[in-house]
Amino acid sequence: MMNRRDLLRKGGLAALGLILPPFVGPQFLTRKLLAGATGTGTGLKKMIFIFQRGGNDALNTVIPRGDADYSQVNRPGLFINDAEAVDLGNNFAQLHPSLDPLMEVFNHTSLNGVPGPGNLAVLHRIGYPEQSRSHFSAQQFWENGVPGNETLDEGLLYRRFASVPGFADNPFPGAYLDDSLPVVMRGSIPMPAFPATADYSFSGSLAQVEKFLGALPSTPGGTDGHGFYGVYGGKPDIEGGAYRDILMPTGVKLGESVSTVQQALAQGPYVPENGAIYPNNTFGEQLSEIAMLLKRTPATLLGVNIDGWDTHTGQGRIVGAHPNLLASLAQGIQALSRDLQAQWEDVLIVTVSEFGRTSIENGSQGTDHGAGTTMFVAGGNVVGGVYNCDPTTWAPGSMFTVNDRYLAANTDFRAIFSEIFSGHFGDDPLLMEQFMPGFDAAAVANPELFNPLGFMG
Amino acid sequence: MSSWCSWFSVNPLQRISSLVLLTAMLLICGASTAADAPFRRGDPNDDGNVDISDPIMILNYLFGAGGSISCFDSADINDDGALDVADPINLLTYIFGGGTLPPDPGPFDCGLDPTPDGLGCFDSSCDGAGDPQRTVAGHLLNRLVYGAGPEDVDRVINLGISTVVDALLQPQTGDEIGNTLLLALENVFTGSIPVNDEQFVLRPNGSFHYFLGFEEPPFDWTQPGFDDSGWQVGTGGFGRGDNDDVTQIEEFVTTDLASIYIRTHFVIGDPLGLPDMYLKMLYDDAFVAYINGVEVVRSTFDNGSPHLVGNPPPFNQYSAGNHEAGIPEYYLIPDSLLQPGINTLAIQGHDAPNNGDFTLDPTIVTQVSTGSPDRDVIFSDGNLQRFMFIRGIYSGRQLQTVLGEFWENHFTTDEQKLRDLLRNVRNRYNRRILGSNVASRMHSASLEFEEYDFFRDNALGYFGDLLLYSSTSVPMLVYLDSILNFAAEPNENYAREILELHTLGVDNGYTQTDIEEVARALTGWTVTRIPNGMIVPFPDYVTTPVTTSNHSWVTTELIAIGDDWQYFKGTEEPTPGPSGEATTAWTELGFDDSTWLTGPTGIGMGDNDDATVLTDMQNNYISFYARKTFTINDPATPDRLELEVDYDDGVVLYLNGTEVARSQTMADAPAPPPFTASSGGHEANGRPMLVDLDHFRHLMVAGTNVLAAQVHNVVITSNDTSFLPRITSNVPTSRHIDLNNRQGQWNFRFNPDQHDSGAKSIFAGTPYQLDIPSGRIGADGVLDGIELIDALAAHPGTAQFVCIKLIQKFVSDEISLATVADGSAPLELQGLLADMINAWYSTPQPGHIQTVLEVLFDPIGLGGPFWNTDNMKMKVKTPVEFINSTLRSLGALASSDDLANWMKDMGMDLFQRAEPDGYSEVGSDWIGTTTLLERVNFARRFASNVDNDYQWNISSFIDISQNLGAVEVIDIFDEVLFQNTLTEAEKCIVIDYLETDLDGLPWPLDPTASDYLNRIRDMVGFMFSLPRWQFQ
Repeated sequence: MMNRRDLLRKGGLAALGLILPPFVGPQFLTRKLLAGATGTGTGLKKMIFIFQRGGNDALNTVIPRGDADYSQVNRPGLFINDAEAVDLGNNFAQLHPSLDPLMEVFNHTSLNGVPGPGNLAVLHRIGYPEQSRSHFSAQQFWENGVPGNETLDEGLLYRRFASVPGFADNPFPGAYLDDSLPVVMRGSIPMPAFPATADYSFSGSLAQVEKFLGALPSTPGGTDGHGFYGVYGGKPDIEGGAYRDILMPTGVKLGESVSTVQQALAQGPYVPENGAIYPNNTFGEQLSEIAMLLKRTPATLLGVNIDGWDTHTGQGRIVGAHPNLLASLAQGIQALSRDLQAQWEDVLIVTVSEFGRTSIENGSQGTDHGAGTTMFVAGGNVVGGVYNCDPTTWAPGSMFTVNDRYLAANTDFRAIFSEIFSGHFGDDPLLMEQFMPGFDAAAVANPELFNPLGFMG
Repeated sequence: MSSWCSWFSVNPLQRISSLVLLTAMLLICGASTAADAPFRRGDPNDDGNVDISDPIMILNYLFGAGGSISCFDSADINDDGALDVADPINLLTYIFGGGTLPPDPGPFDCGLDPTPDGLGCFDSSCDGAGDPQRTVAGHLLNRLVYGAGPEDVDRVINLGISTVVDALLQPQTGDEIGNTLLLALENVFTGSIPVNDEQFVLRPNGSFHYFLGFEEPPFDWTQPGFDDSGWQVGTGGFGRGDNDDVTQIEEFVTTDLASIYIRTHFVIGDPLGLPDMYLKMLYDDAFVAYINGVEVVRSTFDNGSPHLVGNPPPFNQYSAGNHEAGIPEYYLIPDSLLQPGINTLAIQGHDAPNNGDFTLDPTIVTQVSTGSPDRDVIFSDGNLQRFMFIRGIYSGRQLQTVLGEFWENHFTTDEQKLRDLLRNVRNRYNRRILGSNVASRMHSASLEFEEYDFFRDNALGYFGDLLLYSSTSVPMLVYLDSILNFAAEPNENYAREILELHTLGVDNGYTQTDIEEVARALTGWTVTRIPNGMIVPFPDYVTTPVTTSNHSWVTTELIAIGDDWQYFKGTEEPTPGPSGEATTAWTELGFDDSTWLTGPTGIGMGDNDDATVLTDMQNNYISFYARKTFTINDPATPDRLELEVDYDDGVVLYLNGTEVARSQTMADAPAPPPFTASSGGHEANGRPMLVDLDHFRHLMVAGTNVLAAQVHNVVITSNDTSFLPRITSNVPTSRHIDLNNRQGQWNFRFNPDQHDSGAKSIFAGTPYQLDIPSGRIGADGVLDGIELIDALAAHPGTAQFVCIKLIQKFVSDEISLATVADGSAPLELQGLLADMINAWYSTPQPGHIQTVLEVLFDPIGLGGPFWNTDNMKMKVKTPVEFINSTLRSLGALASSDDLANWMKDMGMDLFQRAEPDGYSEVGSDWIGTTTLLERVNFARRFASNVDNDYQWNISSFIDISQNLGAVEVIDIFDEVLFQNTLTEAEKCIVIDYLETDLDGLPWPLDPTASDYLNRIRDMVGFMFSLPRWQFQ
């Protein structure tokens, strides 16, 4: 019979993503990252990550007006006509009217007092080879950064941010605004997740909480700690196996992050700046909390979901479920861009969705799971514009390239993140294989999907 | 104080001073714990084996060559209380076969030192190992049960493991007689409604005259002869808020209005010949009802005291309490108050002060018992979740309950989506039938409950039955859009998920083409309401499905399209008043229309839809008038009278001189409209306006009646107008069900008209290819789906995927489709999977879950991965498992209120998950800062016993007269919660927590102090916060 160690080696740790190719040591990373981090901006580079879960109908988000297949015939109940859409000025692409608030970021020439192009990159036809049309697989691939690997539960963003010196010791390196930590930020060093800051506290008086939390042992894994920190930072017992190795640091991170968040809240009610108005819903409240945390804590990575994009039925054309979601997304990005002006050069807002949807509307005034999708990237370092949705690169028939049903990807999402990591964070391009295992091979196998788009300044 | 627990880790050179420290620790940490961990004698290096490396370690230590020993007792081979060279020599002799077995606990078993001596054992892998028998019993209770209760471990040991497993695998059926606590709590959350044959006498959305209670109405307002013609006319029900009212009365919010008075009439035959008649009330907040001028009932609190006082209550009286509409209430109307012919219903409805919602929505029904047992209902989604907890905590059929949750989660549906759909279901007259959240969620929660109950009752049965049940359950048909899967417009939502999530697993042997073919095979699967008489058990309602819609009438025309009408061109008023104003004299029964023109309907011009063409109408007149007599033998007959009018552009209709309906396009015109009035625009479109004439039977007479209409164009220059009227008498068939009626039930329906009857091929080109022939007509089309479900249940991919999920649930989550596919899953689990798949196919039908689980649990051999100690305490509890096990551990009495909120805060919201994949069984998905925070907060709140919703009795564990100290107290709860497996290090931190005050100073536990039990409760909360309580 196999013993426990064998079990872990063959199954458990692999499932947790703990046996990756040997990781480059921290010293090496330190050198590379410091070397690369001398680019633009004045402070610590940060990212806000927004996941549109459910699969966004890319074609009713960024409309390829120049493609005759985007038509009343193919989309009898969903077609947005020319006059209704917001034009992006390249004689091809338009935005859904609900996205109009994005134009402030797309067009803005003076947010920083400097004339120039806007700070919104509109990216179309993003995906990866042989896209999954399962929500669960597709989200897994976008999040772990390794398409085809169903089991790797370690995140693409985790690997990038965990490589930054000091990550492990940072009491609050970032957080995901949700009940649970999604794969994209999971790894062996836990990161906090909570849906709202107000509820993120232990019950009891300050003194009771202080006693309950206690103190970490003098050495990691030691037995001289006290209270909650004493057990979670102390000597592990046998139970829980591999999960114990995640749970215990999670407990320590819980105590630390609750303390950080409560200290941030103690600075007083948060008032957004520069006329920022967040959408009046949970997503908007969470974006406002993200802005607060970016200003009051050391966090550099904050993530949030906006749910409900799986519009199989009654999707809505100008009004309805999908337009409402688009409006929330656009108002949220607009509000962040105003509220975070003081650190706009350092902030990058990135939206993703696991896939686009069918090019032809289904029988229920909705759309089914598809392939290529859209991303928005916004921030002071972004070279605004429309990418992958223009007369030069968008050939007729593009909307039916895959299975005669779906829009094909023109750029791999890993190439997008590679540009983000290099362009915004100054990471050495050689590190991409580390952040996204299989990156190099994928770039060799499908070079046309890895052409840089050049949206980072 | 910070260092005493790390005593064992100090350098051996310091051991003398450390022994001094040990004395201090004995005083604080307890006399018998920290220094007396269990151990294997002869295994000082603690690798689990006694071999040559152990005596070498002792020799090195004794001669200062390096190394430290943390468990001195294990090195004291001869148990003489001293470490010396005799020990390694005895051990060497034993190892090489010459010596005697080292004394207890010996080299093979973990145990405590039976001899009191000065040596200690401070760290050993035996530490916390506990008693293997208790550990195994605890494991069984963690996995097949929602955790061990206070006596459960002993009970399992006494009965024997295999006996208990067998019993759990073969639960009885029927109610859990004798489990009085469970049954009592279940009753709190469920109700029952009688299954009666119910017929309307006064239908919903009737026509009322109403009067707002800004002053007292005339004293005789309840009397049949009262003239209410000065009151306003409106459609029931009346109110505001909750989106459940037709006639909105905003004055309940904008003014201090307290009451409304409504009147209508209904027509019956001899009341003695009719079944019992009931007033069926939806109301918010209070009412008094009168039949023919006599009070019949007034609303009351649960204790019988009335909401309103006074005879009658004055107009400005507010209700003494709140009451929400949603679930109708029935009040018997005594025959003595009724009379043959026209009866008058009058009701005064009163609002509670300062609340934003009001409803007054009366109907009258007859009821006849069908003899069927009452139907269980559950009133809300919250009660549904509470019900789950009650069963989880208290059911004696624990494995069945655990599996019930498992299947419910496997075939997850979202109650909210079903509720939203039901709330928007409209009847024939485009009125919502369950407008309020209260009403719609009672139906949605009850349907979800019915589904969950099936999964629990059949949890150990055949997978194919569960799959077929799920595919035809109302919640699933709605949730994954099967009801929108039409022949011409397939919807792939369910097709994709039944393959990916319910049977084969993601990308496990199917293609996009298969998804499309599956969707086609399932076209026409939908839902309908059926009368009680048509309800048949599963699976009969699938194999011989209902194919028709709930609307089934035998129709006779009283006025047909094409009948001759008298008509009058609107070049002037047909019957002008003294000043030339419009009157309704021309609509009266006795009006002489012999001078009018005669022509068949439709009457109008343009569009080629008129038999009588008004060629001179355009630019000459904007309206025309028409009359038609028809015969009614008896206004009290139980048929359904309906007026249909297709029109262009506007119409106002009168029955025997009284306006009964007008098109929306004429809403702004006066009553009656003058001949010059213009209408809003509307085209005749084949979807006529329907008017329920049953509301107007009191206007009808036996013999000749007259229907009159005035038809108006949008502008005088318009080139089209139409009037296409019809009156029908309709006798409902036994299939018919009125959607407003309580009788009947939502059910699977196969609609042949929406079924794609072409040939399909699923899994084409594989050994499992399923070819479905074309041309299945009528109900036979349902066979496509049934054959598909059978094929899916028999497909090896399904056996593989479902067995993997069962292994994940019960044994270890270190296996998945992907790790099986690439061979990286643990070998013992792969072996188990193969055995389970064999068992899956060992029964006449594949997929008998009980048979498959017998292999998994191996109750006979008690071998196999399930019983492998490596797989124990390795699974992270899900939120529901955490809550149930926490409450069970201390024998809690829980009402279950608030548990659902905790579960939600921990990240799980059963029955409400929007995504179709169900909640994860994989541990890493349940480790996170928020879920841990909420678990800790919940468990500490429970332990502190401050919440009335979940309480435990500490005196069942602590006898206060025994003056137990900290160590004894910890040992008691170590046994209760952890089967005595706490390590010394953990015990030290627990004692430290228990015996330290808020300033960090020592604070000995004092059994005589008043805070003694509260401090212990706080300590138990801390023990629930330990990492190990997260695992099962």
